Amino acid sequence: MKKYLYIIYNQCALQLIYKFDFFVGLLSKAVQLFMTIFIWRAIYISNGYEVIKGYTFETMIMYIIMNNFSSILFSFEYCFRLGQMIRSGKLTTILLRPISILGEGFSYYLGNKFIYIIIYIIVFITMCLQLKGSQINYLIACLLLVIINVGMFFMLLSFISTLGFRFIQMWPLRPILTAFYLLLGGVYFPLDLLSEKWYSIISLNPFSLVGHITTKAMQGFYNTKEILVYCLVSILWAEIFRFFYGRAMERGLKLYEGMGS
Amino acid sequence: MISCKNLSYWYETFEKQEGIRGTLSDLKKRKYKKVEAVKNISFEIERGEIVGILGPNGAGKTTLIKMLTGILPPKEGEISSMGFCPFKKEKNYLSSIGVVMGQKSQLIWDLPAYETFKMIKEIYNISKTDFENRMNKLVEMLKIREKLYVPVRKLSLGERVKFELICALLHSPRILFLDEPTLGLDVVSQYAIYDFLKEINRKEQTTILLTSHYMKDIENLADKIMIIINGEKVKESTIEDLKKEFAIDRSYIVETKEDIIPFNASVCRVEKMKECQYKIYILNENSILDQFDLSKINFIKEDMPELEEIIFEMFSKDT
Repeated sequence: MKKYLYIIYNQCALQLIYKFDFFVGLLSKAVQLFMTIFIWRAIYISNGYEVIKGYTFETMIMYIIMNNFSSILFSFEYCFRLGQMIRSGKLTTILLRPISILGEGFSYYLGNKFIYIIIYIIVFITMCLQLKGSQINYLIACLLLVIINVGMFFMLLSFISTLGFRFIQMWPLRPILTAFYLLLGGVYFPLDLLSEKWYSIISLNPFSLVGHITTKAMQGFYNTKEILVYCLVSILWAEIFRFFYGRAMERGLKLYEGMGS
Repeated sequence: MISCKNLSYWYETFEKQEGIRGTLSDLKKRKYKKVEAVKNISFEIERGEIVGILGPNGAGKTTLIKMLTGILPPKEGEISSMGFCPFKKEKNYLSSIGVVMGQKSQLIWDLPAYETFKMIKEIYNISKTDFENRMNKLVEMLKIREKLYVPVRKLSLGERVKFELICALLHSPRILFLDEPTLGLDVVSQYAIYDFLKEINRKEQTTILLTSHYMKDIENLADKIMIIINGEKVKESTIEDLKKEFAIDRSYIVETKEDIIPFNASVCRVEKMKECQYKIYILNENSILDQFDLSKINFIKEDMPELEEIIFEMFSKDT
């Protein structure tokens, strides 16, 4: 366990070295966020609505802020790490260590997102305390959902990353994945604004669980029981991705030639 | 310790066709071809042996090491290393091997090497005392203590190679695989590495497999050499035996104090090399040089071809 903690620590240290990357990343997210907020402001003002499908302007803005922030935590950079390591032959150094590849990857992922995780937890606790101050069970359920979602999303990324064994360049996938996340995760609009039929189809997809559902949970839209159901769905997705990841990795390692400089 | 039977490995690769037409044709359908990197190689390595693997570029040395370390699965044949099948990547096996691959860095580029060492300490469960002792010994020996806390990206190639070696040696591996371990090192560091490797080989019975283009590495370290050309093992012997085999005639070089032959030359053929230096060819095994006047001789040595000459000859012939 200590070895994985040390990998997390090293990744945190690296994050602090690249201060510029960190701030530019935050800035680009902030620009994106302000644009979404302005669009929603225009929609509310131009139509004279006070509430759209249960969302007041304030709850909508809070939803947009929280969901956009989640999208920093649940981003796709990790998908391309394995591909890069395969192309450069760097995967060799990890394969030669008595360490779980998945464990190493998860530590790397957590270490990379460490600053965001801290901010996320602070924002999360503040929001949850405001909304359901006395309901400790609700708070714990929300936290559980976030933790499970982190694991589930990591498994999804790991599964996608195994495509790196087949494709030399993985970057063309990035805009596609981002588009999926923006659409299915409800980053620009809450998914329940869609018709009930569409919402029932897409509400339990992995992107919705980490984006839309988690944000709404933090806003106090659900009860504890509903959140626990979402936790179970998330675990189910994680298991599916783990299964496919295992198989893809097994096949991929047979293809890996350890080339590259 | 290590046993390989009929080991083979081939890569599938494609050749890009020339020009735009060729590029378009490749886009539609690529022509793949099979490249045999290792062909039916068998060998045994005992515990504590130092084996040098020699071969020209693309001979299959690195592929062989990759199979032995478990990076590549053999396409044919079997490997047993300390009773393990390397490709299964069992933790006990990985904990017992150390690997330096010339071009694959273990070091974290933006952090000091010390941070990588500490991570390795945790990964291999090295006790604090062992870690401190071993690391201190290695950094002293390689004279890089003052670079321990400098980010790796600020180090020179040689300094990085030294730290790579320390990474591979920190956990006291039972088998050490070294692929071009002295690449970029200065002479002093090369000799320090030889001393250290010999010491761990003697004290800890560490088995060492190394590939190198520097014959000096092989001559200084290896008990046994294995020559691979075009994926095939063409020779496995000790350096001494190889030299004897490649010596055309049994001959000696004698340097005298004066420019006269100081013995009865009837049982041998003498060839004057330069002033006061003669090459003597013994005509048969039972020939005895008599009336040797040692007071008139500066030195006498058996004339053996250099390993480099033998290897050059073998590589030129076979490639």
